[in-house]
Amino acid sequence: MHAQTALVDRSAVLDISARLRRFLLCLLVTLCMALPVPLPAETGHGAFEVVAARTEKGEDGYLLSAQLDIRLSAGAQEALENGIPLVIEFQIQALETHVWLWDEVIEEIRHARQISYHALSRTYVVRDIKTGRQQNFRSLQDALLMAGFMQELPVLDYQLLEDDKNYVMRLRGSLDIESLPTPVRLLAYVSSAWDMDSEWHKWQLAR
Amino acid sequence: MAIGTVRRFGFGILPILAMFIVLLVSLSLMSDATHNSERFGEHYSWLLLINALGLVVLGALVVANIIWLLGQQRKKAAGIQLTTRMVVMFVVLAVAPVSVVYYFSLQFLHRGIDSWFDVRIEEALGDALDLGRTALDVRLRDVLHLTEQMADEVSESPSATLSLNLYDLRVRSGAAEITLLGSDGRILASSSADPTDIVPSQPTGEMLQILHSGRHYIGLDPVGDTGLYARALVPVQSSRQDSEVYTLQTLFPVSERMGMLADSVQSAFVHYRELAYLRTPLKFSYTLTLSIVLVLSLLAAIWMAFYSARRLVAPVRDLAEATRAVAEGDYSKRLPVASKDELGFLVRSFNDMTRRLSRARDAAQKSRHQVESQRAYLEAVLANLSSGVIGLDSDSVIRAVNTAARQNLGVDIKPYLGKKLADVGEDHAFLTPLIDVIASKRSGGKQAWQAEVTLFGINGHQILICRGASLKGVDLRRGSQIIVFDDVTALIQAQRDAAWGEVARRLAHEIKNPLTPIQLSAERLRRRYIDTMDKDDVEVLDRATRTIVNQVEAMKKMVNAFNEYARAPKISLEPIKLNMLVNEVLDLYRGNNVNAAIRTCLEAECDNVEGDTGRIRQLLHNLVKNALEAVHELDDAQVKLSTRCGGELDSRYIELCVDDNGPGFREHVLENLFEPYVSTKPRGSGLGLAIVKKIVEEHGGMIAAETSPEGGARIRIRLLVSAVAVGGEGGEGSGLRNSTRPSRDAGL
Repeated sequence: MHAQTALVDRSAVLDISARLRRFLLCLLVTLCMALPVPLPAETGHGAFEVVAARTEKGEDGYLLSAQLDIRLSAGAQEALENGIPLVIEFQIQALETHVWLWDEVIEEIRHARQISYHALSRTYVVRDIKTGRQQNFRSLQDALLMAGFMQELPVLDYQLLEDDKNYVMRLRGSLDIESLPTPVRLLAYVSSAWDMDSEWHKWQLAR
Repeated sequence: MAIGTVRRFGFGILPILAMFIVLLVSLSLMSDATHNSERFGEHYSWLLLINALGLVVLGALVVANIIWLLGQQRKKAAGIQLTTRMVVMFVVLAVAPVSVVYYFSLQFLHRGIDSWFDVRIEEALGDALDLGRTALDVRLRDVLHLTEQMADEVSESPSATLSLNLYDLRVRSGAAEITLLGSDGRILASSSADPTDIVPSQPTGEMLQILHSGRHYIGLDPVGDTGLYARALVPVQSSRQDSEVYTLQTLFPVSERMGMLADSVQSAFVHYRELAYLRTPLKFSYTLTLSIVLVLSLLAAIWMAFYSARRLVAPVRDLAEATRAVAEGDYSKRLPVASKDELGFLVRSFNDMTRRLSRARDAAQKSRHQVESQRAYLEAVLANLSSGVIGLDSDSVIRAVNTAARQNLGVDIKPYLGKKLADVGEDHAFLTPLIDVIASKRSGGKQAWQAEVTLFGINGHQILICRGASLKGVDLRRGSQIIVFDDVTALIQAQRDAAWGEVARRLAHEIKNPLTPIQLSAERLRRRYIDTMDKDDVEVLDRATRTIVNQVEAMKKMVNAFNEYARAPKISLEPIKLNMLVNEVLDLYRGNNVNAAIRTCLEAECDNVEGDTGRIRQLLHNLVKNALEAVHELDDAQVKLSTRCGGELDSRYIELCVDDNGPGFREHVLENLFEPYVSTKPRGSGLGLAIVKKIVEEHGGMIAAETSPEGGARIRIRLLVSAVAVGGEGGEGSGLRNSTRPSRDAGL
């Protein structure tokens, strides 16, 4: 129980800290837009969307299978093609629902995949950052499809669950701006073209 | 307290310096992070925020300082104009070069970044990449050819030895991995050079699609950190009965040398492309960093301008405030000497100046105290003098007066300080003789003078000895005089009384004593020889002895009368109605063989006097008798007694006039009329008027003799009117009188 509470606090703090920092930077960089440097015009908005997600019971816990539709903005695609790797991050949370209170996060998992372009072989390399496994694709579409696909990823241990309570899973995908090179990061903070986070996709945990 | 903390924090140099250092370190880290995103890249956003917050704090400090400056200007605080000028000067001096450096730095920065990129280098890198691809294509074709041969061998191979055959093929061909896949993508058999690689690398759908379209797949595969691999997929026509189409996938490592070269070209190309892509964002981030440095420098310079200006102006401001304090008379102000420079010298000089001023003021105060104490001493001396003192300047304006003057004159002169002496005379007419004497003596031009003045005022008949002296060696205009006057009335009276007393004693001793033996001897002569002598002689003897006896008797009476005059009886004062007393006395004379017509005109309403009834009665008797004697030979002899009131409120008197129509006084008699033994009558004792004068003086009155316009004699007597009516509250009235004339009664 203590571990759960700690988890709640830490994740909440991380979340707020990241949002606050992002807001302040956004404000700062917007102010700095008055600087005498022309910034690249952004065209073509991208967006992430969770098209399907479900959990199945596995041996020790629940396994997640999901598909995130990744549509890169023109800017992001250009960056990718110019050798800048992009990191797609999945944020998976298990929530204990309450009728009168806020839902409580009992487990959170972050899963990241990197897409990069290999110029010599003209392939897009999708790499799972955790496992290091990689796959190469000739087309970007295939690479993005693969990057957004998750199959039977263990997300929730049975031990964390109690019988008489209700649980909800939720998932969202986003582009990890912090992993971008510093100069690009400044742009990414303020440009809506780099804001491709998906909404939370929520579903009931089948018991 | 919070304000104090903020103020301390806002205006102290150390916290600000610490903040500058922190911001500079943060800026340098930020700049580092822009260069190399691996070292500080992940903290870049935090560094940026820290710097921004630092700038906000600095900006707030500068704004606070500006508000302070404006507030001080509104209050017109000391030294604020100088502070403003210095701040403006410092800011201009700082902003101008920093702005120029900023502008040129930006120019250099943009040109520097632009100079990294060159079309030829880009083309060369592209060409190198193509060259690499071309070189690798040869290898790929070899791999494909080899894989096709292997596919033929595998198609002949029985299912049971498939794994062994694959192993054999892999070892022979030098492949990294050989995998046989079923038509549904299942792995039928696999052999890998890496024993840890349990799961073989699977072909993607895209590759399988190429294969399904009837073509062979050959391509380069970057595999993690292990380098480049050539991947080939070839269909395998099984010779077995199931006629299933399998797929053979081989992975061949690119040779080490070629792989290294290709990797180098690839990384250089990617790095160049990345840089080219980051050109604009890099410019932006460098410009941002530079701008933050600029703003930080500017704000720091402005703050330092405020700080320095305040520090520089502080001694000047202190000096200005201290000077203002000195101007307002506060010489105790001392300034702390903070530096050894010219300002410190100025502050030291100021402190010396105030110290000397303070000493001079103390000395002046001391001397003033001395003067005041001397003046007080002089005043005390004057106040304790029994003589009245009046100081006059050249315009006869009263400059000084002592308390004894009031006692001597009966008038408080102090209210007339600063006014002319003549003004006193206007208000108090009885002082006119004194004022006239002073005026005449002053106009005489003598340095010192003395005069005797007779007044009839509040204190009654007064004789003053006045002495005047010009003041020399005093810082006054010429003509200043000091007038000293003494009331010698009592003294003169006492001297006169003493002289007459001595005369009376001598008369008694030298004349009265031999008279009795003379008388007795004459009577004895008469008795002894009267019977023995003849009738003629007897008549002579009898006449002679009788004459002797009568004359001796007359001489005795004369001596007794004189003795009575000379002795000083104690008078007992009581309220008297003078008019009534006059009538009482006159009643004794009317119709008593008196051939003169006695008239009265007693009009005075203020006839209350304090006196000894017996003495006043004696006075009246003497006067009436004198008058009757002066007119007894006339046919229309007339004697008139009249009273009237005179004087002012504070010195009211009743005047009694006794007039007769006799021959009046001759001139030479008038001078000594009231001296004893002066008489106009052949049989007069010469003591009548002397006694009258004595009684008048005993009562503090004044007597005068003159020849009336009608030619007769006139005696005028003035007596002070008592404040209390007869039969009224006599005790209180006598008390008041005694208090105003203590010395007179005692003297008499």
